[in-house]
Amino acid sequence: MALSFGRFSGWASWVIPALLLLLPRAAHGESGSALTRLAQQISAVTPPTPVFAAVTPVSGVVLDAKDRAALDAKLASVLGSAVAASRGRGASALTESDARRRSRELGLALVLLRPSLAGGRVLVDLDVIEWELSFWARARKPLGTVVAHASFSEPADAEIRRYLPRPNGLLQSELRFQSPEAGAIGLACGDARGQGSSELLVVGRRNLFIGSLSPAAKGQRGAFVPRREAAWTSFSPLSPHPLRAPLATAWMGPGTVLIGSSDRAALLRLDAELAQPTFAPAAWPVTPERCHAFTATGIAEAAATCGPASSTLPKTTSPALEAPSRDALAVLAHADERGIVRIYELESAAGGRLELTIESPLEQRQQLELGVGGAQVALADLDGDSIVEAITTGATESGADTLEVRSLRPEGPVLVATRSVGPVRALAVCPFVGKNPQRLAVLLTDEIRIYE
Amino acid sequence: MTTRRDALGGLGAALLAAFASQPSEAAVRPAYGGHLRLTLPIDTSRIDPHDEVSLTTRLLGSSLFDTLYARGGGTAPAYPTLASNLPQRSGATVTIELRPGLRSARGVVLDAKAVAAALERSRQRSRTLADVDRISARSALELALTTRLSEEALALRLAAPSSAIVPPGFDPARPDCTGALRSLGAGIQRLARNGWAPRGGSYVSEVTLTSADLRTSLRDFETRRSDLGFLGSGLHQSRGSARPFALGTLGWLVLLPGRRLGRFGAPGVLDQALGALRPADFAALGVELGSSRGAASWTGPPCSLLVPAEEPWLVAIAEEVARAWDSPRARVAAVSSPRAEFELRLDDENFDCALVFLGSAEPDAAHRALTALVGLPPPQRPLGALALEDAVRHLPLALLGRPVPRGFCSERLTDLVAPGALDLANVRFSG
Repeated sequence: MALSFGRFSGWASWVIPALLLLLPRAAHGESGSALTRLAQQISAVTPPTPVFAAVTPVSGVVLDAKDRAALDAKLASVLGSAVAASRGRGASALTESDARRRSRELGLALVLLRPSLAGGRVLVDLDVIEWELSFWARARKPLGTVVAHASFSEPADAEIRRYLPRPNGLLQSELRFQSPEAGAIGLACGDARGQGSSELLVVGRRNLFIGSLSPAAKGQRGAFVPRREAAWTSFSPLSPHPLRAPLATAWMGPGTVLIGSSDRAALLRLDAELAQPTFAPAAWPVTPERCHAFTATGIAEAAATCGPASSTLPKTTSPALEAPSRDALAVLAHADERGIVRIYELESAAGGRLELTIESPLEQRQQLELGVGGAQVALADLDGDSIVEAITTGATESGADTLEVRSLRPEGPVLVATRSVGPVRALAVCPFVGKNPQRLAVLLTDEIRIYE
Repeated sequence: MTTRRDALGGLGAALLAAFASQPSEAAVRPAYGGHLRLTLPIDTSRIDPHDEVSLTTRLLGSSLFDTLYARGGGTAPAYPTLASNLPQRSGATVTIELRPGLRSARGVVLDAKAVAAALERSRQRSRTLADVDRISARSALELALTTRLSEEALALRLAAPSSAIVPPGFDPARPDCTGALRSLGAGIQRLARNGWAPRGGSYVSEVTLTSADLRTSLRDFETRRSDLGFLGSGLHQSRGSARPFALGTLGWLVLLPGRRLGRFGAPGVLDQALGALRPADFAALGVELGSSRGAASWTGPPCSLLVPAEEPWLVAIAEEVARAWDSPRARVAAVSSPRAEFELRLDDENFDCALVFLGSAEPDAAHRALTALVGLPPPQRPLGALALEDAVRHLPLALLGRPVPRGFCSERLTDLVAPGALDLANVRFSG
């Protein structure tokens, strides 16, 4: 959230403390849908005195007329109603000039909300506009005076993405790139620098790489262009008790990269430049708060905190834990088009059984089996239809692996796309960056493939 | 500036990372779990990785004990496993850095002091490290070895199973392991995945090893009480779905003459008598006979062929030799005695003839071990083009042949066999 103030007035005297109080919350606002979180943030900063609230049509996106009208109505409804003491508000989106005119007619201050979509995020600029009382002041400032400004942003989720153009199918296109290290075992995709663009993190057995992909001419393999590269040995020695069949994964967020490998003695937390290491006991990171310890055979079923970050390497004093284990795990918190948030967990259990759990505070816990597959799983609403897809791997009779995408529809999982690939070592779904579908990154023995 | 030490360290780490474990190329991760049951004609009451004349060590040692380095296969150089990089020479001393945090299966810390003690133990019991003059701990994680061997040659010696690392106070009857599996209780009858395995615990959770004669081994396989049929697929009938395996050459079977054999123990005499043995009879026992140029019968006095009672396979081989040599003029019989007595009589040379297994398949290593076996100083030169049989013809012993075990295993098992050994670290159940 960014703040700025046009004039220190009666408005500002209460708005400023309210906005400042909100700062730490905004950074961690991860509950509910994106629109719900935005509404909560707007509600917290809008004045208690009567105002007129208006939401302008969304900018930054090209939509057909029907979808635009629907999205504008949705935003006007949700964001407009979040303004605390609105005495009147536009029932649908209003242009700025209409909003000002209506506000002046009503003799109320205007809370103007301007939503836009950029880089896969919903941005909302909020202006509080007061109308001057004297004739000459009104003549000098016909557009009113902006007495407070705030802006909020949240990643666009299904509630928004469902209005954007959808792809005709999944796994339709494929791009191939040379992997920076043959035999790498982990992959993540995210925006560690917080610049609105995704990068790939490749977890090798010797090195770590963060960078982007550079396409080549048609029919040729592109290159992975590392922005930063670091040797594992500069951070962590080998684990005293690694897994014979290694497992690795990574989590990327703004300014932070978490890397867990069963080969290594510590869970690694680095900055976006693969520097400033801190350490925690070796584990499989799901989020910065949730980790699963490595056992003697895989990933522990039980979730735990990731352990306090320390500047020194943890000492391993216990043998590898003999406990029920998983080969792979993916977790997704997904808000559907109605804003209902469900937590999806997909696990590759013993014998390659793919087990899915769906939990929501409003619904009964669901447990589903997706058959037998490989040790690479991912969850995402790839096509933006507000239905989550489970991405898994499977073996074919020819010996090649397949990518399998199942749509987790309310009536049951439906296989919607398959694609034959080489031996898959890791999967990663890149964040939504404003266009459906999300990109799926697949790590093979010496290649990275991108599917849309 | 990148020093040579840095470069070597990096290379070592790279190699280690590349080979520390064996990931599947396929999307489906190798399956963990399962209880493997093996009835084998070998001694399961003890295991000592530094014992070069133990069939058990040769067959199972690399699954239970790890080494500082491992062989890359073929002519590839050794790569670090428990070491963190390749050996680095400074004058007459070669230093080796260890991986931090290593422990034995029972939690004994494996620091440089413990590893130096293990290598010293190996040096005293096997000939592998005979060219190393001094082994000491420099710091908690650094070893210093005084040797004229090159770094590459030393790494290869330290990759030999007979240079395996054991914790201080190692007891072969209650082995504290450092490999993929650990022993539960006495001997190696019950094994479980080692939670401190420095290269990763085994895929199977548990292994039960039963020592039995060849007939029992085959009957157990036929009746599905064992997952491996040693030298066959069943006693009375074949287990239809079983899959064949062959381990390759384990080493050498050696006939040693004792003091009581008198002039018949002279070099070449026993060798000549090997002409009486029929290759087909021994092939059925998993033995490839050596080339014999001798007479077609035993011409010596009545003789007993001493063999350790705990080794049913060796007992069966000794009985076959005795059967071939036996005649009304000179009775020859296999005599098995408990290992302790066997070793005592071997030390005293108080026997006619003894059958000994030598677990060195590589010719130069076998040459060194054979000369040591008869109490001679180590050979000065490598064998080169000379065949081992020819090189040892002047020694008072005879090379009976090579044990080349084969057999059948459960159709559900994958990767049971490594060159010259059973690979209990990587074997797994499919499906």
